[in-house]
Amino acid sequence: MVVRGDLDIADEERLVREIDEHFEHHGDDTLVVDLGEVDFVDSSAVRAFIRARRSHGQQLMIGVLSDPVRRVFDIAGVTTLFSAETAE
Amino acid sequence: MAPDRRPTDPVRTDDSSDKAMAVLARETRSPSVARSWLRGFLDDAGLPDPVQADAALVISELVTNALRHGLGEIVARATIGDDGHVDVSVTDSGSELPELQAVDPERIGGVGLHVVAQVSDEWGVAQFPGGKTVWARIAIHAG
Repeated sequence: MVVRGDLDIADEERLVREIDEHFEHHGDDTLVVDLGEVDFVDSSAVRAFIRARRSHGQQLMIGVLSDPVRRVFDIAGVTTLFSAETAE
Repeated sequence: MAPDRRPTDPVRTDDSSDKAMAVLARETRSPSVARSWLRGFLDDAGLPDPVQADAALVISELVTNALRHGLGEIVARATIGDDGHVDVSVTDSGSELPELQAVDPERIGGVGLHVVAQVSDEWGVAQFPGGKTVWARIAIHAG
């Protein structure tokens, strides 16, 4: 799954829903979300991923992080929670 | 009567060369509206992109907090100080005061203020009868 553009409170519900829908269709497969082309995030993006993690646990991973994403996810202390080692 | 508002416009703005304010609706698009407005103001003032990005991130968190926890109309303000900083603030009519909590990666919520605290030099809350203002000071570092 590739996410582009900006992620804030206006996108939180849609992002959680899209992750849920992926797991509905793909069952136990791991989902690696690519945030390499995201221009802006704030804490609402972190919140969306933490919410989704409650449902899907370690099957939900983030592959690439753009610099703005890494900055906010590092501050939140969640970067390693979603770390997809193969993409590092 | 005000002209019809475009989706990307604040409810109302009043910007001069070193001070600006925007009234924002209680809508989830308001953090995005606030970022565009603030970046435009700082860009007009000639401030470099990294400062605009820091200020935009902080205002986005403050407006989001006002939406999640506050009450009523949201007023965003920005002032360019003559000693190398930008002050941004967000005022709403809620009485609940933000508090910095310990970082807990598994908890939902509480991250926004950490972002504000990390990105700004200083931040604080001013309470008044009928509401509160959360402010933050951002250094104008070399671009």
